[in-house]
Amino acid sequence: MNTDELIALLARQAGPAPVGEARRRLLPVLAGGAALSVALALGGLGAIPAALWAWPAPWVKLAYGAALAAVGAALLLRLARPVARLGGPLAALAAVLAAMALLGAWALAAAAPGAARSAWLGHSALLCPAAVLGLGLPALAGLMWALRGLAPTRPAAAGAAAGLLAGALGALGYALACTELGLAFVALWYSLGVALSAALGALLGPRLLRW
Amino acid sequence: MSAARRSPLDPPVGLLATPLETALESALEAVRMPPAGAALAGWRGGPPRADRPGRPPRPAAAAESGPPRAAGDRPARAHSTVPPAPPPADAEALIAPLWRRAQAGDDAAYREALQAIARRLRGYLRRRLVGQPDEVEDLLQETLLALHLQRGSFDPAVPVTAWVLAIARHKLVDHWRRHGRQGAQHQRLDEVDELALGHVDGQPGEARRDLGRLLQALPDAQRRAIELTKLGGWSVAEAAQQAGVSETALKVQVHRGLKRLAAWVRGGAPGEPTAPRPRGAADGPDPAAAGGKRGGRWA
Repeated sequence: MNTDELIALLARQAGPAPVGEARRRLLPVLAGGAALSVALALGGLGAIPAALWAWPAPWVKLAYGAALAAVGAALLLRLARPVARLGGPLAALAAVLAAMALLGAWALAAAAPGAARSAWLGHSALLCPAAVLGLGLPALAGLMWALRGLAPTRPAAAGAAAGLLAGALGALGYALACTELGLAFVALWYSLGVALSAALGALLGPRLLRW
Repeated sequence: MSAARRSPLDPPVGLLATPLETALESALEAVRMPPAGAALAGWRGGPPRADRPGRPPRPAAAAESGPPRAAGDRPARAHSTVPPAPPPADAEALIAPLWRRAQAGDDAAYREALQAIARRLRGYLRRRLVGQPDEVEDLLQETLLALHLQRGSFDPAVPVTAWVLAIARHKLVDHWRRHGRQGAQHQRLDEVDELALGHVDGQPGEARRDLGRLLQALPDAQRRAIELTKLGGWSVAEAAQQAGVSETALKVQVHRGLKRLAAWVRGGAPGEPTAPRPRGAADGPDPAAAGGKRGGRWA
């Protein structure tokens, strides 16, 4: 087929360009991934005792997960398109991470002299990143699938953004099942889980996101 | 069976330009299924595709490729009539208004915009596929198809040219990943033995069998799209309706199917769609020079 004829074929009755496709594809997956993460956390790991909600930690975990998810979604919506300008969302990501790090450092400084070690190690330091990563996996799979129908031209970055968002959703779910009360623990191990998820996304991106 | 199977307003579904593809097309015409309604035979007879005056007859198409060219030459191909591209700075100014109207649903503007984009992309790709002039049109069409499929991903806040180049670069990288950067992996179409292709033309029975075999090897959707539009003679809209897919999807299937068929005829059996070609050792372009520039410029 020669090129002029291909153009004629494409332009014929093409109609207006579709609007908001990235949103339409990604947002339902995001909602489904969040619901699955919460359901798996509550069903598989069990909800925390209600008394724990009197502490700040569960709320901080939820807020941290939600903030990371919002930033991740903003990054992903931009990276799903060919020319992505990331300045705003990246600054927001840095702000969220810095705020959580400050909170953690403050909690560590305020801890009793002998308790610093238990403040950041807690009693489930190894379970936490694995749970955050694992609870986010369904969302990661769904987001990758949704991205394949969009137009990411930077597959590794788009994969990392998907991983960040999925990890944040995993953190949201795990916040409902995690009995740790230290903020330093949250700053360290939740962040590590989300980072692992983002790294996994960055690895998968170039392999899966061809179009 | 409806009365008008291909309305005169329908543009050609797949006019083929290169000698090989032209041969393929005539072979497809030759084995076109007989229409169920005999009344149709009358107006469907006559010289094939007489309703398309712009189409060069086959000898002309063959002559177009001309004598072998030096690698640095700009191949004239079928596009010698295209006016030279304006200077790079004008690209955005020229394309952006057209593109805005196209996005809003103006087909004529869309066509004009794609043509302007194609002219510039051709230069862009040519400079990056120095050893593989025959790949340029292929990749250009891949890119145009991608632009069309992803036109919803265009962000009005971004220059059209930047958006187009990001997609073209993506397709180019994908091409290199699939084929490597060496130019001499592929036999130039000009060098394909025309006699071998004439053989297909001359013996319809054999052509029918061979094409049938090749068609069977295509994915179902592509085979059906080609059967409906090429062999059945339906218009794109009618074929899309019959296949139960959108017109865009059908266009893509016809395009991909024809490309795959052409690749098989060129390169061997469906079992080995990418038949290995003798590898040229050192005559590929310098990868750094060809692909290293991230901020590519228009022709």
